[in-house]
Amino acid sequence: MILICLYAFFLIIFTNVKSTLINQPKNSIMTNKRLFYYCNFLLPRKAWLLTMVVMLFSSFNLIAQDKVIKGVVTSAKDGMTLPGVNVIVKGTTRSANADFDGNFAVQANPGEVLIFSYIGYASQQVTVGNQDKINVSLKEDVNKLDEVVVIGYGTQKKSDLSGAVSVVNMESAKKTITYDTAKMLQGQVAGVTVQSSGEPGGFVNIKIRGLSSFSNNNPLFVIDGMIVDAPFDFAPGDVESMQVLKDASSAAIYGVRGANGVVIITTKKGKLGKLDVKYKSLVGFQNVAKTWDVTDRVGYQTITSAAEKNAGLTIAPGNDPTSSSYITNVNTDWQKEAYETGIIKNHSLSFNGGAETMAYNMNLDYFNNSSYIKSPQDYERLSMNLNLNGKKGIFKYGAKIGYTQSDKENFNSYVGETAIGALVGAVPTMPVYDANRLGGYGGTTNLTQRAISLNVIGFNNLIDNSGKRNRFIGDIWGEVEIVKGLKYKIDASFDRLDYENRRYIPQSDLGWYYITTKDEASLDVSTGSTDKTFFNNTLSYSLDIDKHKFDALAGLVQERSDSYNHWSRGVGYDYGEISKLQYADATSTGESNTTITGKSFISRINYSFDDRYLLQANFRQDKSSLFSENNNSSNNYSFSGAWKLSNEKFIHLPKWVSNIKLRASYGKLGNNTIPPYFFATTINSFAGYDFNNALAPGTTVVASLDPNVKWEDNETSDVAVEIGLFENDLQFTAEYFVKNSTNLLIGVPLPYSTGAFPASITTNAGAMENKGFEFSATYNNNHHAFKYSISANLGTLKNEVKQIGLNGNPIYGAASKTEVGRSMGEIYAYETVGIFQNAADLAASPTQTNAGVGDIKFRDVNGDGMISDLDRTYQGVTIPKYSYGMNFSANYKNWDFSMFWQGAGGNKVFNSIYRNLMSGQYGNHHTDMLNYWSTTNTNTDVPRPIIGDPNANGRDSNRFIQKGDYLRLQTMEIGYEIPIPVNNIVQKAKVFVNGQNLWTLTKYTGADPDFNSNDGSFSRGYDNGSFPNPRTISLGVEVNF
Amino acid sequence: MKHKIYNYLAGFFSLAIVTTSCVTDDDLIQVDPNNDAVDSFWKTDQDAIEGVNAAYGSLLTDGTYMRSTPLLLDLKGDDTRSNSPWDAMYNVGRFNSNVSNAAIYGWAYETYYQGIYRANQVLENVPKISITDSALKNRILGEAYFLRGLYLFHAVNMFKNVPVPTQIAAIYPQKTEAEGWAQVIADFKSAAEFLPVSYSNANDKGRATKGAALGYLGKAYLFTKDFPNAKIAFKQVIDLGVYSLVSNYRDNFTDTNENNSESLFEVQFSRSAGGVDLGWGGAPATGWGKTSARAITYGPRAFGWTDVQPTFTLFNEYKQEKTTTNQDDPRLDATMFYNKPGMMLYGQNFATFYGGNAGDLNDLFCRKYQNSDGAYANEFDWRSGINERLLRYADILLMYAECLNETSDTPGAYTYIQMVRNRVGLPNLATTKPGMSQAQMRDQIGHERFLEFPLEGHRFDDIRRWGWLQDPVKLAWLKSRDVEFNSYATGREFFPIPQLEMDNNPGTIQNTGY
Repeated sequence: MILICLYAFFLIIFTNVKSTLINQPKNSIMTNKRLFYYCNFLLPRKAWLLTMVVMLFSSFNLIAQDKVIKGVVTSAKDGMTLPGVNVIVKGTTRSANADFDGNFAVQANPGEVLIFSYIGYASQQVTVGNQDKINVSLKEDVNKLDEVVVIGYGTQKKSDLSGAVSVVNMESAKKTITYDTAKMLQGQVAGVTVQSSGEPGGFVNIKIRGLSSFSNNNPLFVIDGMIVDAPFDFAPGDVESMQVLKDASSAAIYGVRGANGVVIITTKKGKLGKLDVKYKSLVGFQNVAKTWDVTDRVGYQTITSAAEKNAGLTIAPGNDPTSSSYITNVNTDWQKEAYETGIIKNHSLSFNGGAETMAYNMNLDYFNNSSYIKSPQDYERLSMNLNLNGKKGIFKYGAKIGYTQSDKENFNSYVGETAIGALVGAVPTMPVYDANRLGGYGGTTNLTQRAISLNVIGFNNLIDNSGKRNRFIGDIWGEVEIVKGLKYKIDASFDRLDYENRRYIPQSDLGWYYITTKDEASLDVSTGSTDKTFFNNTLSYSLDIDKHKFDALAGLVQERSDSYNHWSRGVGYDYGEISKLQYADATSTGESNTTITGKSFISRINYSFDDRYLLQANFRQDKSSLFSENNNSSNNYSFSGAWKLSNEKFIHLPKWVSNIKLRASYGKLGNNTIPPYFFATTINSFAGYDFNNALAPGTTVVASLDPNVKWEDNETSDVAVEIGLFENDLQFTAEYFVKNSTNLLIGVPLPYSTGAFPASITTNAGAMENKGFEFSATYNNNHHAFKYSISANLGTLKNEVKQIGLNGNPIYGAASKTEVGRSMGEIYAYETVGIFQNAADLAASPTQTNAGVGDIKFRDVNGDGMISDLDRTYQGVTIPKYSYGMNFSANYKNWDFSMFWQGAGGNKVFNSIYRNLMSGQYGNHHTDMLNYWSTTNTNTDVPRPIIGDPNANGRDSNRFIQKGDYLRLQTMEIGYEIPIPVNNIVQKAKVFVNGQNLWTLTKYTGADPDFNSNDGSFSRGYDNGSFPNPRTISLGVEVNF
Repeated sequence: MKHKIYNYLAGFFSLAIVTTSCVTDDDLIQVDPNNDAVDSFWKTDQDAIEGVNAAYGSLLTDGTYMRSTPLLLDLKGDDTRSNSPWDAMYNVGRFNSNVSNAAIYGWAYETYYQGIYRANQVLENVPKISITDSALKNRILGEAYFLRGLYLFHAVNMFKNVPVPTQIAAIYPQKTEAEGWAQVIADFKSAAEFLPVSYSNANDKGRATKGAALGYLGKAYLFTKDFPNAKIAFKQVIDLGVYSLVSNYRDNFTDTNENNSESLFEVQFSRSAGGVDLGWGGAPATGWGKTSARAITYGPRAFGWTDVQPTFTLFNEYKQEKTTTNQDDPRLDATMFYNKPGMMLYGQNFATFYGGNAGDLNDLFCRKYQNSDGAYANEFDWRSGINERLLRYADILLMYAECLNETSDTPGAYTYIQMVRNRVGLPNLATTKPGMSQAQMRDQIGHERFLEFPLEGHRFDDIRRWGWLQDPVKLAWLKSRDVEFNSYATGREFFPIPQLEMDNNPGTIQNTGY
C-alpha cells in the first residue's frame, strides 16, 4: 500500500515536473523566478519538495558517454569486483561508473589520467597509455580516524574534531531490541543516561550530561538533517550511524535547540552497485523480570483487620471470620493473573543499490509488541524509509521520504495512581471476574471489603484507549559546487504528523467506587496534525593552501510548525451501545491551533594547520515566535581548539603511540522549551455559573504568565585528551566538562493565595551547574581468527542548583526539595528513630500529635520538642552520580558473541509503591507488613497498621528511601553465520539468539531501578510505579540476497 | 538540453538566496488564536457581568461547594461521623488532617483564593469601564465585594491566619485572624451598600442580594463576638420584610423549591446548565457541568459513597421532644434515613433493601441534600443539581435570638426561637421552658441550632465560636456524643495552612497544633 502511494506520489511529481520544464521558454530566468515565487508562496506546503524533485529527476537525462577505455575494478582485499566505482578523466567532465560486475568504459585519450574513487577505498590514479583495457585493484582505506562523522549542517573527519562528539558503536547499539532508537543509546556513550519503561511504545527519557533545565532535558534529535523532537516514529534498524554532540562547541550550530545536546542519526544511504536485499526478522518473548511480594488473602485479612481494630472500628465483614460475608473462596494473586508473556515481532526488509547519479536505500520495517500484562495493550508500527542520493558533475542531490503508521493501545490508570501501582495494591479478596457485575469483571464492595481497589485487568480490558499516528517526512536537498570549494546547498523538509486518539469508557461496574454509570460512559476523540517545515540555505567554502586548511559555513535556517487539534467528547452510552460519537446522549467539541516560527542565521569556521592545530568557531543567531517581540532573539556561539601532539615533529613518541590529541572548547547555547504564546495573558471564557438553572457565561484570567519570559542560557566548557595506541587498536578518551545553565525557565510554584491556576508561574528563575568526567576506552583485536573488542565508558555527574525560584525560595516536589547549593530534586523527608514501645516512651518523646504505641517515632531534628515539617532533612541525591556501560564482543569463524552491561549509581530512590504497600490501610500489603508491631511482636521496625494512619507513619521518611545503584546485563547475543554454498540468491544468512535485561544486581526493592520518572521534574527520584522493563528473549534471522 | 537545464538550475539557486523565505519577520510575532488577550477584555457592560459571573463560578468546584467545603464544615461536628476509606476525608472529623497531604482542605483553601482573585479582577477593572447604567455597575461591584467577603469568610473561619488579598499582587502575606475578619466585615458592608434587595429579572435569580450581604455581615460580627453590631445587621435583614420560613422544612434541601422565601443565599447547582462533565477544578472548560458531588459523597450505602453519616447523638436528640401532635420532630426524617417502617429511599424500602445486613439495617444515612425522593435510582452519576443553601432565614432568626440573649435580652430570644420551632410543630418554648437564664438559653440555642442545621455546615462553627473545645466540661460532653472528638488537640479546630502556601509564601506561620 505504502509503495503504491509512494509510486503514485512520484508519478504525479514527475509528470508535473516534466510538463513544467517542457513548457519553459528558452531564456527563462523570469519564468523560473515566477516558479520560484510560486514555491515561495506555498512554502509551508510540499511545493519545495516538488521543486527539488524537478532538479533531481531532470539530472537523469544528463548521462552521456563514449566508449574507448574498458576495464574491471576489483577489491585488493579479496579480488571481488567492485560495482559502481567512479571513474573520472582528470581535468575533464568525462566520467563513468563501473557496472554491477565492476566493468567500466570511459572515453579517454592516451596521456590522460583516470581517477578511480570509491567509498571506503583509497582512490587511485592511472595514466592512460596505448592500451584500451585497464584493470584496477583498489585498496581499502583502513585509517580508523579517517571515519567521517556527521556534524551539524556538514561532516568532518573524526580526527579533525575539536568538540565533544561521541560516535556510537552501532553494531553494539543495535543489539538492543527496541521500538525506539533513543533506547539504543543506553550505556553506549559516556555521559548519556537513558531511562525507559517496559510499556510497549512507551517513551524513553534521555539525558546528555545531566539535567540542565527544569522543563525539558531531552536532547535534540536530527535525523538525516531533519530536526525531530524524538526518534519515536523511526525504525531503529534503518540507522547507519549515530553521533552524540555533547558540548556547546559541537552543538552550537543548533543554537537554542542544542543546549541539551544533540543526537545525530543518519539512516542508510544507497550504495553503488547491484541491488542488495537484506531481510531481518526476529521474534521475542517478554516477561516481567521481578514481581512484588504482596500478601495473600490470609495475610491481607490479618493486617487489615488489625488496622481496623487499632482504629477502634469494626472489622470489615469480608475479613471477619465470624461474619456470614467472610471471604474465603477468593485469593487473587493479581500479578500472577495480570502478567503473561508479551511478544515482540520485528521484520525488516531493505533494498539498496543504484548508480552514482542515483542510489537508493529503502527500508520497510514492521514492529509489533504486545504487553506482558493481560490486556489489549500493544504497540504496532509499520514504517518505510527511502533515501535517494546521487551526484552529477558539480551537482549533488538527495531526497528522503519516510512514512510511519503506528497504533498504540494505551494503558489506563485511574486518576492519581499508576496502572502498576494499582495492580500490586489490589486486594486479594477481589475476584478478577464476576459475571454478576456489568462488564463481567470483579470488584469490591463498601459493605464487604470496604477497600477501594481497582481491578486493573478489568479496567484495561473494558476501556478502549488507542492512539494512532501517521507520519510523513519528506526531505529534499541539492548542492552545487559553484567554484571549486564553494558549495551552495538548499535543503527543504516537511514533517507531518497526523494523530487520532480515542478513549471509550463503557458503562460498567468494577465494584465500589469504580462504577461507570450510563451518564459517565464517555468517548473522547481527539484528532490533529502538526506540520513542520524546515528550509535551509547554506553556503560552504573550503580551501587548502599548503598546510592551511580552511572551511567556512554560513546559512539561513527557517522553520515553521503549525499544529491543529480537534476534540470531541460524547457522554451517555448504554451498555453495549455502539461507541461512536453520534450515539452519545450529549456531545461537546472544540478545536485549537498553534503556530511556532523560527529563523536562524548559522555560521561556522574551521581552520587547521598542518594537521596539528585545529580551531573551530560557531555562531548562530536565533529568533523565535515563542517569546515576545522584544525577547525573541538569542545569540549563540562557541570556540574550540585541538592540538594533535602526535603529529608534532619535536615530540618523539614511542612507536606504539599512534595518536594523542588534546582539545578544549567553550560555548554558549540556549534552550527555548516553552509552550507557544506563554508570554501573553489571556482570558478564559468558560468560567461560567448558572442562574435560574441556565448557564451564565463567565470570563476571567485564570493563569499567571510572565510577559518578559525569555530563552534559557547555557554555557559549557570542555577539555579532553584522546589517545590512540597500537595503531589505534586501543583508544582512550578522557574528558571533563562544566556546564552552567542560567535564566532557566521554571514553573515557580505560587502560594495558593495568589488564586492563579495552575498555582505556578513560568519564568526565568533558575541556574544550575553540571560538571563531570567522562571516560571511554575501546580495544579491538582483529589480528587473529578470534577477533574481539572490549569497550567501556563511564560518566560522572555533579549537579548543583545555583539559583531557584522567586527570592531563592526552595521548590518542593514529591518527597523532594530543590534549593540553592544542592542538586536538583534531592530527597527530603523525615527520619525515623524507631517505634513507640509503650506509653512512657510516647510521653518521653517529642510531641507527635495523635501518635500511639506501635507508631513510628520520628526524629526531632530541630530539637523544638515537636515533630513538624521543620524536621525533614535531605536524604540523598536522585541524579545518578555515575553511569556506565561495558561491551564485549567477539567472533570466531562463523560464531559471534556479544555482551553488554550497563548501570548507574550513587543515587537514591523514593520507593512510593513500597510506601503504599506498607501503609497498613485497606489496600493490599507487602509481605514485610506481616511483621507489624503489636504487643506480642515488639522487636520490629514495621509500625502497627491503623486505619486513617493518625500518626502519618506513611509520611515521606527514610523507611521508603533506597539506593538506586544497579548493574544490569542489558544484552547478550550469540549469532551463527550459516555456511552457504556460493549461489546467486542467498549471499549470507545468520541466526541469532538475543537476551535482554537478563540479570540485575541491585539493592533496590522496587520493580526496576531503571524507571522512567518525570523529565526535568523536581521529583525525579520518585518511583510511583513505572512499567518495569521486561526480560526479553529473542530469536532472529538475517539474510542477505 | 543539457545547458538549458543548467541554466534553470543556476537560476533557481541564485534566486533562492535572494528571495526565499518561509518565515518572514512578521511571522515571528505570533498571537494566540485560541484565546482572547486580556487587553481586549474589561471593555463593556457584558464583560463586567461575565467577570463577576466567573467570581461566582468558583463556588461550584471541588474545593468549594461541589464537595470539599461541605465535608470540611460538616465532618468536625458532633452531628456527623465518617468511615470513609479515604484518609483525607476520614481524618477531617478526627482533627487529624495531614500537614504533608493537603488533599481536600488544601483544595478548599486554593479555591477560596481563586474566587478572591476573580472578585478582585472585577473590583479592579469594572470601575474603569464606562458603564452608563450606574445601578448595574454598583450591583456588579456589590456582588464582587460580597463574593470576596464570602470566600475570605471561609478562609479565615477555617484556616485562621490567612492572607487577605484586596488588590491584585504577586504575593499576599499572611495576616492575623483579626485582620481577616476586619476585611470580611468591610466587604460585606460594602456589598450591603451596593446590592439590591431583589432582582426583577428571573435570570438573575441566585445573585447576591442586600439581604445576603447583611446576613453574612451579621454572621461575621457574631463570629467575632460583636453582638451589638450583629444584632443590628440581623434586624436589618428581618426588617427587609422579604424573607419568611417555608412551611415544609425539607423544601430547603431538594431541587424542587430552590431560591425560596427562606433562602438568603445559595450556591446554584443545576443538572441542566452547562455540559455534563464534572467541573472538579483547574482551568474551566466548555464541557463543565454545574453540578455538585455532595449527594454521591454523603449518599446512603449502595446509593452513594457514605463518606458522611449522621451520628446516633443527633438521632437521639431529635427523639427528645415531640411535636404538639405528639409526633417525632419532622426534621429527623428530612435529615436522615434510618430503619423506620415505611421509610423509602431512592424508590426502595429501607428495611427491605438493607434487610440482609444487620449493620446497615441499624445504621443512619444522610438524607439532606440527597436526590432520594424517587426521581433517581442512586447518586452514581456524581451529578446533583440541588442548590446548597448557605444562609437560611431560620439561621438569621436563631442568630438574632442569640444576639438578644448575649446582649441581655434573654426573654426577647424566645420569640425568634419559637418562629423556627413553630414551623416544625414543636411546642411553645415559653411554656415548656419558661424563664431560662442567659446560660440556659445559650444551651437551648445550641440545642435548637443542632436540630435545625445538621449537615448544613454550621454545627462545628458554633462549637468553635462558643469556646466549647476550650471548656473541659463541654469537650468531655462532646466526646461522649461523638468519639471523633477524642483525637481533638489544641489548635486543631482550624485546618493546617496547606504546605504549598507554607513553602511558597515566605514568613507564613503554621497554625498551632500542627
